[in-house]
Amino acid sequence: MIRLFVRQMLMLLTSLMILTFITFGITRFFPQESLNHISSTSSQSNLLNEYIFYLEQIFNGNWGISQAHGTEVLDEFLTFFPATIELSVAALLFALIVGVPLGIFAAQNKNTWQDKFIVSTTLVGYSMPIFWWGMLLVLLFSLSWGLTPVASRLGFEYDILPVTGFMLIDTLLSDQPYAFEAFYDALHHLILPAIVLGTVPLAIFTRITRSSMIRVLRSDYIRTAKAKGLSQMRIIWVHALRNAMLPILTIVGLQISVLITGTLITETIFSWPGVGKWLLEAVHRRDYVTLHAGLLAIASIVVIINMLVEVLSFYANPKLRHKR
Amino acid sequence: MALLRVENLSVTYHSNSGPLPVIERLSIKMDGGEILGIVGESGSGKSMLALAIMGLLSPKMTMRADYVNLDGEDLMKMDPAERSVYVASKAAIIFQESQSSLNPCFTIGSQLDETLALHQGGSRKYRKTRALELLDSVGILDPELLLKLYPHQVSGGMSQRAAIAIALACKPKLLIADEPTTALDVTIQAQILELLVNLSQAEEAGLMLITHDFALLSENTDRIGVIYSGLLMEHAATQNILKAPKHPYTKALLDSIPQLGDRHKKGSRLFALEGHIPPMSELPVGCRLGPRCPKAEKYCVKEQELITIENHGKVRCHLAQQPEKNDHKTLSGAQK
Repeated sequence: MIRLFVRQMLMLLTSLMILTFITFGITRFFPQESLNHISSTSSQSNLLNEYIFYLEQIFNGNWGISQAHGTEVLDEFLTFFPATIELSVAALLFALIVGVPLGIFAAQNKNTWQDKFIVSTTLVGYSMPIFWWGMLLVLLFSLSWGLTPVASRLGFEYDILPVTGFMLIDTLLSDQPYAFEAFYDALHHLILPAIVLGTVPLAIFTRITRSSMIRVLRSDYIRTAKAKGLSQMRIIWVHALRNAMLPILTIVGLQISVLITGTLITETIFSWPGVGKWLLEAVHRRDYVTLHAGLLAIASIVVIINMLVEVLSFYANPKLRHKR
Repeated sequence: MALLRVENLSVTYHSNSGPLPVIERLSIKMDGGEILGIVGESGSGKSMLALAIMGLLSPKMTMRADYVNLDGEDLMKMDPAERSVYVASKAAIIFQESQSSLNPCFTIGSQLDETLALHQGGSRKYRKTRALELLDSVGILDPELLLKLYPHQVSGGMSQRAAIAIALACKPKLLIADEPTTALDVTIQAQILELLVNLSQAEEAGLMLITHDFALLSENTDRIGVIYSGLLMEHAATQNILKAPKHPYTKALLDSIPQLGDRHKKGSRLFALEGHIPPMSELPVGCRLGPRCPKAEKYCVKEQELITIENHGKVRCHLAQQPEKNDHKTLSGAQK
């Protein structure tokens, strides 16, 4: 147990170190005036000293002043970040809640027309360009049928004080009389972007669940469970899924980075005030300070989440947790 | 009242190139407390018999039967859901690979408790005592510890004992053991077999022992059924079969058991039946054993029926009716 912890920590540190090498290297190509906050001014500056100074500045939260807005980049990041987390978590939940049961259903009905339909649809979902898919959905659901709002996180009629930055929580915390209505409105705004962002992971989860489930359903212990007289529900959702979940968990970890990259496009389509949209605007404005900070922050988060998923899948698998 | 009566059971495998017979018109009968041995080569359909009775056939297989009567109820008249609950309450099965037949993600305790909760109910505390009793009865020295372990943490013999305990949790009237000892080493084999026999005697439960190893059956069973290529070839009391096997296939199986010590004749080679069990898609005309049978003659190209031989049992061979010309020993001699 301790060995695992130490190993994961070392791996995390190594990954983060490599990451900072890269970001530090990139800064050398940026225009000089944009990097005043991280360039060492000491007289005997060599590469190593500069790198250490750079790390110090990053860890102290001195991420520089945005060239476009003239505000602290760290503050900007912290304002936009919760919106991205909210969207990504919603998309991930959507992909899991729809994808896993769909995969199970396909596995149970292997080689029937339903299964073939699901498999071919997921292939379409997987190869769909998100920006086109997003705009298509907006066109249909928002513009033609008026079912969902076109953009942003909340209707203009509501005035909600940001406390946590998560709109679903903030609306409930608010003491305005329309707090609940605002909550529903926020939920309403979240649905379409979450579906768009979750489409590719949904396709992947469905396929992985299907193949993993097919393999598990063939195994001897499922036959034993049937011989015990357990209900079909219990066999599928307890005995089979618990085993099928192990490979799915690994894929979930890998999909986190896909999700975060996807936010760049999704947030732009839906004018979602998150990190993705913030970074894309920084690209347009050649705001190197913001870009550098965003790159570093997002990459670190992906690395950290991947490590957490790794630890989680270790705990979920008794074969790894309890070595004989 | 018989515990299990199977009449004209046929199992068909629906392959991509058409239906293939796996078991054909098989009838057996078992009483409570009786030990029935089923023996045959790999691919003879003996495991399919067990799966068919338990209702565990894969979706690509279908079964038909006049009736499959288990403890007074005809399984063929039930719908699948009703049937699986009924069968699970009356019969239990133990598989060859105990390690893989236990779920790797749950402790042995939770898998045992699940079965107890389903079939016996009672409070958590009561079930815990029952679980400890069961593990104790299958000869586990530290039941308390085993409850907390995962299947991969215990040895093959230990997990087979745990699998037996789980099977016994529903207080089965019929226990089917499908090659229960094949994956174990020899000393553990003997222990597990003894355990199964003792448990079935103690509980007055019928035990169906399925194996390819005649030596295992000779000491423990009351009656033996010999299956070849999905057909019951001989079905008789164990002592009759051992003393005077009527079917050439049974003889061949008995002759292929190695003899140790004095009984082993120096320089003699172990008898082996030539050829392989025919694939279900290429069955021979007439007697299924025909092409491999050392005694095959003209009449064997006709389909053989099970005939009843007095003071013996049932045999699917026309030669069994004829006065015994060649005794058991000369069969192996004829092969040379």
